Formats: sequence, structure tokens, C-alpha cells
Amino acid sequence: MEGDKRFRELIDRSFAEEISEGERQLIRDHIRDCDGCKRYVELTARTIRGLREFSFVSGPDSNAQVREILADHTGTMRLHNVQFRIWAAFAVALSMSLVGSALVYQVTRRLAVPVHFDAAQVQGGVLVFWLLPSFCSALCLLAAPRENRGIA
Amino acid sequence: MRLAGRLQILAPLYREALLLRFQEDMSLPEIAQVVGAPVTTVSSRIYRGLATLRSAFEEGDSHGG
Repeated sequence: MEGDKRFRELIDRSFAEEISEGERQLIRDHIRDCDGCKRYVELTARTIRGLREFSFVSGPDSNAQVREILADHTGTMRLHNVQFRIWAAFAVALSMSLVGSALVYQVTRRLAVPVHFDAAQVQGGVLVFWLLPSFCSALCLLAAPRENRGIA
Repeated sequence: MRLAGRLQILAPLYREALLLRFQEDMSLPEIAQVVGAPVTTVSSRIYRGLATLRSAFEEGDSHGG
């Protein structure tokens, strides 16, 4: 049995890698007298033939399934992409609104000195006439239907 | 059981080694390079994979398949 085990390892090697002609002859001599190992060679040869002939060609049903999965995946990806772009646009608009308001406040504060407006009046003016409108414009990006956002 | 079914019972690493060896006709060193494993590991995967497939074939034969 131990001898058979060694022969079977050699048989496996003969299929998977190069072995010497001497080793091939050993196998041939052995399987002439050993039915178990002969069957082992036949089974291994059948297995490898099956592997060589195995085809990855898919049927029409599985092609349709793959297409369906891809279409579904593409739709999901597109939706995520659009949502990301909307939030990115909102973030940009909000930042511009805040930065713009700060700049407008600085400019207005200087311009307000000759007309004697105090700081609270300037802040109120910037808030009502600049910050709130620009913030609302940014919010409109989120609220508008997708086709009107100009980014979808 | 068809070969596709038999391949399904194999661990992916064994399946990969067998298909690279017997479908792509790659040598053991080439497979080792592709999968990033030592040649001894690749040959061990091939022999174990073969043993699994062979026993599935044998089982099929004994059940009249």
C-alpha cells in the first residue's frame, strides 16, 4: 500500500509537471500489474480531460441575468453619483454664501461709516439682503427636481 | 455531477491552480508567479484539487454516473 501511495504521487506529478522518462517507465511497469493504480491513472486522466474541455461559455439565460444585474447596478451607481454631486454643489454654494457674506460685511461696514449706520444695522442688512438669500439659493439646489438642477 | 458542479466544491485557490495548469497550460513556476505563491504551494494545491475532483468522479462512477 505504501508503494501504491508513492506511485500515485508519481502519477499525479506525471500529469502536473515534467517527470523523467525513467519515472514514466516505472509507472508503465507498475500499472501493468496493479489494477488500483491503473484505475487511478484512468480517473486522473479523465479528470484532467474534463478540466481541459471545461468551457466558461454562459447560456443566454445567464447573459440576461448578468445584463439585468449590471443595469440595476448602473442605476444605483448613477443615483449615488447624482446625490453626491447635489450635496457637493450644496456644500460649495453654502461655503460661497458664508465667505461672500463675510466679504460683503467687511465692505458694507466701511461704506456704512459715512452714513452713520452702526454695526448692528450693517449686520442686519447683510443678514437679510445677502446671507439669507444666498443660503436660500443653496437650499434650492437640494429642493429642486433633479432635471432642473443642471448637474444631474 | 457535471464538472462545473464538481469545480464548485473546490476551494477557490485549488480551482484557480487547476484551471491555470490544465486550461491555460501554464507551468508551475508561471502559476506561482501569477498567484504570488511558492511553487511547492501551487503544486500542493493542484494535487489536492485533483484528489477532490477525482474522488467526486469516482463517487459518480460508483453511483452509476
